[in-house]
Amino acid sequence: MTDFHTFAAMSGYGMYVWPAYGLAVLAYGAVFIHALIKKDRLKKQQDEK
Amino acid sequence: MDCPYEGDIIMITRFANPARFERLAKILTPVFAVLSVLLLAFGLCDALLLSPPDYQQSDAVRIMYVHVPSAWMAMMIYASCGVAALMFIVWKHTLAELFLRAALPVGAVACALCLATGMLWGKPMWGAWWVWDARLTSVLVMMFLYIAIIALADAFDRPEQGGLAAAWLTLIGLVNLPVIKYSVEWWNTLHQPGSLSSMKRMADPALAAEMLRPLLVMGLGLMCYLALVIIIRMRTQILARKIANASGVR
Amino acid sequence: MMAVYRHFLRRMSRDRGLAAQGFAFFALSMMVCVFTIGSEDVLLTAILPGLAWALLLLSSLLGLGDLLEGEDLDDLILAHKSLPGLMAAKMAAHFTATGFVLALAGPLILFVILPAASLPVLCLWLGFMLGALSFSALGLLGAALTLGSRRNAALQALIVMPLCVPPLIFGAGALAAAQLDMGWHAPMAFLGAFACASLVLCPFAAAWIVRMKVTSS
Repeated sequence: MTDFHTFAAMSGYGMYVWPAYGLAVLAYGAVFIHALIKKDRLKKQQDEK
Repeated sequence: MDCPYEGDIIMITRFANPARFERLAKILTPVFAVLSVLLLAFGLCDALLLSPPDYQQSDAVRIMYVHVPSAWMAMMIYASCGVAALMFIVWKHTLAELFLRAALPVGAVACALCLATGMLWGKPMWGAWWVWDARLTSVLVMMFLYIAIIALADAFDRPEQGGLAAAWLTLIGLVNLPVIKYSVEWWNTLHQPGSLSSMKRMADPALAAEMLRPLLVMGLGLMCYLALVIIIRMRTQILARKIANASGVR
Repeated sequence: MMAVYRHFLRRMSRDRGLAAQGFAFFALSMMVCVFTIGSEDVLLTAILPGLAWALLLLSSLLGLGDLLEGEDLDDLILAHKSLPGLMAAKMAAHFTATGFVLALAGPLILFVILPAASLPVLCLWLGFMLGALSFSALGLLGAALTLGSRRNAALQALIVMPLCVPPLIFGAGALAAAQLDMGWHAPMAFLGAFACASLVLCPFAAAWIVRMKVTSS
């Protein structure tokens, strides 16, 4: 438990490190998911025709 | 529009090159997917767990492993967009326009993340979210250029014209970026050399191997990942054009 | 070419009274700034000249919207063999109608508002002239890029403003140096070089862009 806490605390910089990683995961993930959704939507549109 | 050949020419370029691209993309997609998963998984572990904290910055240095790859990708995507823009303007290569439209938003995201993570790194290290430093200002201008180019590409009723205008602005911005970088550096030494020297100190220390490794792995992983995203976006656009063409014929 | 220039200038001033409008916009925004900053002499002397540079940029965006739009463009392209020359004439007309007037009048406004002794006169006038020239050249580029697009004015501002960062930095740098009684010739020389380069290159680039757009439609 303490190990996890020290890891999460990032020697006091946790409130900067984790948002940086969180933002990156969110934004890069969103780009990927957006691309996939767009493709699926078009695929469906094509199949309907 | 009234030109009788134009339709044929567009059909030829549109289907000949993208078809070859589709074949290549089918091979590359799984390769990039596997590579990006492996590299990013190892890179994240390495960046967060295995690599040592910096002796000056302690664990805050771990922000570097998302910040610097994002900066690399923002610049790399802009540079490749510049090449694509030139190809599109000179040879009217349809694939180049597709690449421009697919890559620009991805580059803009990378640029935004570079700025955001840079701010998160700057606050604990410099004591300020933002500093009017050469590096920061030139990246900010690049961000605005990305936004302007994307807005320009979508602002036309005829998409070819939008692509053309966007390609031109990409090229012009390519010329502008080093000018901005140089001028602001010069400008800042006049006003506030403090922030500049701190930036140099950040860039200077030769990275230890244990820190260089996660940085390179994350950089490569992000490159593969974003390449994958760009390929997916390009294939989506080819699909969209096929559908539009088909409905246009009917 | 002179005839084309005069034609554009007349059109710009007849349709919109562009020079008067630009000047009024500049003066009004200056007034608004003074209201919001406060009318303390020391504060204004420190801030207002730099602010005038930013307002010069914004005001020179004004005439761009219909710089190249208009029914006569195709005819003009047919009538004149040299499209770059035509673009240069447009640029000159835009400069005369907006930038030139502001570059003359802007420092005058500053004289009226601020204690005159604190102003680097030559640096202001020279910088405003060179800056306004670069802004007009880059504005022409923006107008060429957005020619035929849907959302014109906002898009032009979005495109032109990042491109205008270098002259703005050189000009404001020279001004700041002059205000601190330091040598301002180096940044002014950079500004002059930028103005010269953009004056020569932008008409050609704009002509290229416009020709591609006209032939591709």
